[in-house]
Amino acid sequence: MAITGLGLITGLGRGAANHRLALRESRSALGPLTLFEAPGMPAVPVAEVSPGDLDAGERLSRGEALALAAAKDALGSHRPFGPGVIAVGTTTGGIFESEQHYLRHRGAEGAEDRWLLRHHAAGTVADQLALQLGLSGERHTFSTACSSSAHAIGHAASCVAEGAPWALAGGVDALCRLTYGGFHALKLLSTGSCRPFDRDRQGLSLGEGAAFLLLEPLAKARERGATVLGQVLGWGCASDAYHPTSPHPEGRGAIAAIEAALADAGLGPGEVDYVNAHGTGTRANDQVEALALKAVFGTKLPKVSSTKGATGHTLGAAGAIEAALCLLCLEAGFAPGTVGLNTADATLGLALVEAGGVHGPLQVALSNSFGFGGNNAALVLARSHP
Amino acid sequence: MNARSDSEPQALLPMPRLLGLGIVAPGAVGCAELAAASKRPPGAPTVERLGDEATLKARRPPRLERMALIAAKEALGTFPVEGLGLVFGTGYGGLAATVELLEGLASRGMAFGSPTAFHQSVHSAVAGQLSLALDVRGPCLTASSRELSGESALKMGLQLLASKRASRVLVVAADEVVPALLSAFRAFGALDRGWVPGEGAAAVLLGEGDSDLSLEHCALAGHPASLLDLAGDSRHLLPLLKGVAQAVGPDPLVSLAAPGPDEDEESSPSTGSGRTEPLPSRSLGKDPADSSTGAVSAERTAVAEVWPGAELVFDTARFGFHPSAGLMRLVAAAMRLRAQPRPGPRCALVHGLAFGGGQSAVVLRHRGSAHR
Repeated sequence: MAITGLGLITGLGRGAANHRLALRESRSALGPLTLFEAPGMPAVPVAEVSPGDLDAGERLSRGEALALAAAKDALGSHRPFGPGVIAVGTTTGGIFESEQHYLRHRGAEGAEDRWLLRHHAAGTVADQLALQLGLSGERHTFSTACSSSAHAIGHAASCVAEGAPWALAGGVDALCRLTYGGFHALKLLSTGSCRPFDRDRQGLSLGEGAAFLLLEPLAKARERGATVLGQVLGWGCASDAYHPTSPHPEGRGAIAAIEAALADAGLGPGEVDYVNAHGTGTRANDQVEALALKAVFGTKLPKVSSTKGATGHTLGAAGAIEAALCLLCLEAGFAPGTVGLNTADATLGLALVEAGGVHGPLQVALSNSFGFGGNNAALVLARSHP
Repeated sequence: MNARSDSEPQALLPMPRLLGLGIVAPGAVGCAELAAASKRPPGAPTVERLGDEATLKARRPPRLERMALIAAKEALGTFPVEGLGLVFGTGYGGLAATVELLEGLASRGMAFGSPTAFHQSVHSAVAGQLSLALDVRGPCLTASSRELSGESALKMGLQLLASKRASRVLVVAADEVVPALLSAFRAFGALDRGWVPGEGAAAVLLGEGDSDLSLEHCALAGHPASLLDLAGDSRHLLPLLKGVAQAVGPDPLVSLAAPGPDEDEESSPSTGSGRTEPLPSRSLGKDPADSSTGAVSAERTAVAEVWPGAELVFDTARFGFHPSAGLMRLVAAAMRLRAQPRPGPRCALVHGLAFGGGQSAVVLRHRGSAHR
């Protein structure tokens, strides 16, 4: 199974080249919120996608527009023939538009702008991709909070491994009032830019974006002369069964997911070169994730960093965005540092990538995504070989 | 991941047995109550009563979670949870919590959002609570694939079994109705055309074991369509139906997704939750321009072409048309196969349609009364 297409859009910009450069320069997309007003709330940084990075076109929800941009870039000029699999991970779907309708009409019909309601269901993103790109086949939308698109990619890879002719897999989430207000209510937002694994970290910073991968059988990719960008070697998923919002204090589900991903890949802990952590910057997540990584890797702990200081926490899109960033890092032989990290929390005991990043050959990366309700996902990704 | 050779055809996923069924439906909590309710005409597709509250935890969970938990517990029965995967399907998630958040946003502003409502509005919240209540520590996924959310969850569950990520899978689907949803359906003219959203929950336990029922096939398809369009042309529906024809056999029970038969058709005595009758042989006429009306005749035209002798079931009249209704209709079809056994094996096809062009075909097989 091969990854032959990659599309990526975040507050850092659009496309692989922009993101490679942003990672090398340790840039952050976090800045003032301009997408909507948040009266009565403290101003906290977010990572918004620049309007110029979106394609003009017919009336799409913000989430659909983000997804379509990334999916188009993943496909390029290629259009898969025949039915395949579209797998999308998202938590917000079209809620940004639904908010606007509700604020005007308070649940009544509001006929003059009812088009805003068309996008509410999470599954409309997959439908819109199928319509705009002319794709047929199965459509699955995964909505497991922050692990959504990691599951979408894992499931799609599993389908291709079982014989599906192609899969377009990834995720998207747009900034919206509900998540901004919701995380504020949970007291999980950092007042400044997030600082993953930092001694003084205070919480997460929200972002938005989308990433999609095109997966197909390796033989088919070679037959049509496609460039192989990498492989999904393994997918692990496990539940904490502990609490609606807090992770298991000993990382029970995270450990199980990581171990399952490694087993699925047929690899041992010592064969992972780099970990793109979930690394949100909350005290609980970073602590638990560190425990889990140490439990799995023991003395063979690879270099670890979080890219959420660069992109913000893109919620349902995080798994796909970070998988795509891993592929770029594997290809370039560059492990990025953690933007926002000033003084590492020594109690975590992690081997963090140095500030500014480090060059060196990378063959295998692990990408973690841990969602609300203890919904844990881990992906093992490998570099392509000629 | 272990990959098969490209020269091998795409294999069907190995098909498991149905080890347990559970349901919360309008007028019925549990399969036994549904069997009794099926003898009465359907009422409004809303759940008025949720059974014995004492069986639930002391904390009063949200309505959607309660429906899902009751159905899940009924399906799981006394099976152990070791090696169990959980897949939850919901089209809209915690709608009541979402509306509470939106109302708070409108009336009090973003600074005063409810943290409880926020996490309850997340689509996977119910799955998280199910995993807590049942102590499921294996894979836990949530599907939100519009009106095929239950079927999508089923397919994800089958993939977990096929890839040996789980030895058994509990697939649960649940959705609820709130006034804002009805308002949206009305705004788009769907209510006037008989596409009424309902609510409820269903659950199936899949895996190896002794059962008279097996899941023979689960196929999803979709053609590019506008977000509010259903498949208005039988040509879009035929490829999937023809693809499962061999698995289904010549004389199936077919559960249709579209609302019930036209008012001017003669009715036959009801033997199930909706009406059951052989497909009329007369022409159904041309499809009107409206896709939702066209979908009714497109579905029946396609089914008639593949299975002229099919026994049709219109459970959508009882359950409503909503993202979890497909799994509810699957449970009802399974119950119907058991209630009307034949000497030999017989299949039920549960057909699904979704706004945006999605389609599904799930095939159940009952081994027959002569099987020992």
